[in-house]
Amino acid sequence: MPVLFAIIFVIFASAACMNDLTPQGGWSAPVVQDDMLLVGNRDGNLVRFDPSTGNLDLDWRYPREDGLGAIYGSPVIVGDNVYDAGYTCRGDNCDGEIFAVSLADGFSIWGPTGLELNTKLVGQIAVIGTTLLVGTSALGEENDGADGYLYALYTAPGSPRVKWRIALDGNAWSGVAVEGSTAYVATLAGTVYAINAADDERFDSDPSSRIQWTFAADSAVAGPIQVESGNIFFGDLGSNVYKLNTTSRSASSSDSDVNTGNGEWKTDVGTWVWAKPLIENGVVFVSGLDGSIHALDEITGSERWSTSIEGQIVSAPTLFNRKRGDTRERALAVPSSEKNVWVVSVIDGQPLGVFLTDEPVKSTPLIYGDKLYAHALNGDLKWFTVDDTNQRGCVDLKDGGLCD
Amino acid sequence: MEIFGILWLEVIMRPMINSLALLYKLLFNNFGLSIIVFTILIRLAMIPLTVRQTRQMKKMQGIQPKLKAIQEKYKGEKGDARRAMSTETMALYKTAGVSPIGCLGPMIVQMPIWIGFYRAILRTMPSTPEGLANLSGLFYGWNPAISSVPFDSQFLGISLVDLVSAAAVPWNYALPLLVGASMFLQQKMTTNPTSDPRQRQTNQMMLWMMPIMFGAFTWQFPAGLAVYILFSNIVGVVIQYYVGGKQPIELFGRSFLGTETSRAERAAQVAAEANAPKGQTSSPKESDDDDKSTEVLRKDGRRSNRNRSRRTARRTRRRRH
Repeated sequence: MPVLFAIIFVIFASAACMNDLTPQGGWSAPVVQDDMLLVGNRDGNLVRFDPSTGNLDLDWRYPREDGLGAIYGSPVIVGDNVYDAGYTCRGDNCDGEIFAVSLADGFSIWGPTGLELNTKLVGQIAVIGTTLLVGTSALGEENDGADGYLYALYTAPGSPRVKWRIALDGNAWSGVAVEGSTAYVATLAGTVYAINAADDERFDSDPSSRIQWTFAADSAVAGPIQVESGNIFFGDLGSNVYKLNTTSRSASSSDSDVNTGNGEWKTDVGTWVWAKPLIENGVVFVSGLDGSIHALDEITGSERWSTSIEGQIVSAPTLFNRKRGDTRERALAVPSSEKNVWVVSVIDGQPLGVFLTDEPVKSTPLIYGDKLYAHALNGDLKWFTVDDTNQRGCVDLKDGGLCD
Repeated sequence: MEIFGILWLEVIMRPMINSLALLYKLLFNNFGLSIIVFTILIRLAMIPLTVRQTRQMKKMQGIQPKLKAIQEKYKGEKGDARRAMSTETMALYKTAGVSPIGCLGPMIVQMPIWIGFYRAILRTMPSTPEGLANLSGLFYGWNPAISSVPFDSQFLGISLVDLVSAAAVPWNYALPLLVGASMFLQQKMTTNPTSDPRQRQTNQMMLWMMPIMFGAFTWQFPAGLAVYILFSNIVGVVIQYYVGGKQPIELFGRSFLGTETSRAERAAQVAAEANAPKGQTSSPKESDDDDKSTEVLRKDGRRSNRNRSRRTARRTRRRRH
């Protein structure tokens, strides 16, 4: 009996380790470039899909063979190249890669591989001019290092080169948001950084002098930051949503107080917020990990309405024009970690319909032409007609096979 | 199946995760301490089960010679004889106050707790985005630890979410060795001496196989899980020592700990084992029990034989009709 007990224990432990220590991915949202869709699949390959034929371009993929493990961010396109990052881990023992690929053929423009780092590369990457910005977790090979970094890399072809990097106080899973030459990055320690990412020799001797100001949120910030006309919006794992006025902040304002006099606010939405807030017509749409959606007044932060769907919402919904009789109305397409993409009215949060994926969706849906594309968590890309919400096709992003 | 999932989540996982998180908050934001204290609390809460299991195992051990005698008696027999053997065996269990599944019951009850606990450790310290997102639905609203997420996973210089193999020297070697050694000690204390060569061989195999197996697996476990197993074993050894009546621990031919009385008793038992004919080893107290049990066996045997005669007579009468 003790042997049986031990065997059962070990089986459970091993299964748990596999599931709990290895990133699953499937959060990468598709982006459009030259009438082609680019998306990071669940194996950690960046793949290209042709919406006109409904086929995966099997000659275009990076890496060519085994994937990087998991890709969470969407690809970023600059000129003729596309950039993204992926990683795999067992616990904190990680292998990550930031890569740059030619749009023409899918081959790396940085030599055989991109920049390899022993870290978790979870958040969205961003580009300012010729600088690629990537938030990381702690680096495995630097045991005495910081808990996270903001890396700045040259986007140019050749071997991957680091311009500068700044130590952060926690894992930067929020990704990087940019406005002008300023990059915003947040950490799981709850600190939001505003960093000058301009090419300026003044910062060469001390990269940390690029930090313009910091803000201490009440709790960890895991989700992306939304930048909108001199303000940033983000949520934390303490159920708060913040609006900060970036123009009125300075190095001395690094505290957790929001300055309501400058139009800033903090609102408790009662749930952890991971998805990026959306802003339209004076309304901030915030999605929570309990499946709730909150419409907040952009000026005051007060709640206009709230509703909920089944399952977690880890990625931002998409705003789109929905057909209603002979007219169109604005609606939110909300991805659910339970299953399906739900359609919700922006006016009052009423449910309007559903795109039936029958699979969990953890990536932001893409509206392209008259179709909605959803990258499902099982690795399929499904597309639907926006007007009637009927499914029109499905392709396996791993091997290009057709699916239901 | 869904109901089991809900029960598992609400009865095992959520209480454990929230307790671990609360202890983290109370114990200076130290997850290592949280694991250790929670392990101790869990093991203390299960002392009644451990006591019951130990008693049952001792009783079971005590009646082994009689069980063997019954098996010998009916060796090669079939049909009614086999049923008679079952009857006698059950009667023996009843007399000795042993439940055949009494030894397994507590272990079965403990299994979901062990499995739930290590799952709770992994889920409370998620290392993936999915794990962190899923954690949101596992906390109780009142738990003040929510605002401290994600928890600091460093303890004594090792990351508790990292695999033991990836931990720094000497922890990567020390943890598997400590887990193996503590398990060996616990196994040693729970294994009762026996004169049955087959049983002794099985015990020896178990004594070495389990610690080696767990030590090896620990290499690929997260360090937090290794800390949990280690302290669970250590607390188990302490509890076993007291529950077992402070028996001396015999290692490498020497006795450690124990009281004067228990050492003397053990010495007498060893001497009796050395002098007794093979297969007849038992303590004086057990001999009294033996006599009673043998008497019951005889009676049961007679009853069984009488029943057999009656059945044979009935069959004969039916055939005549």
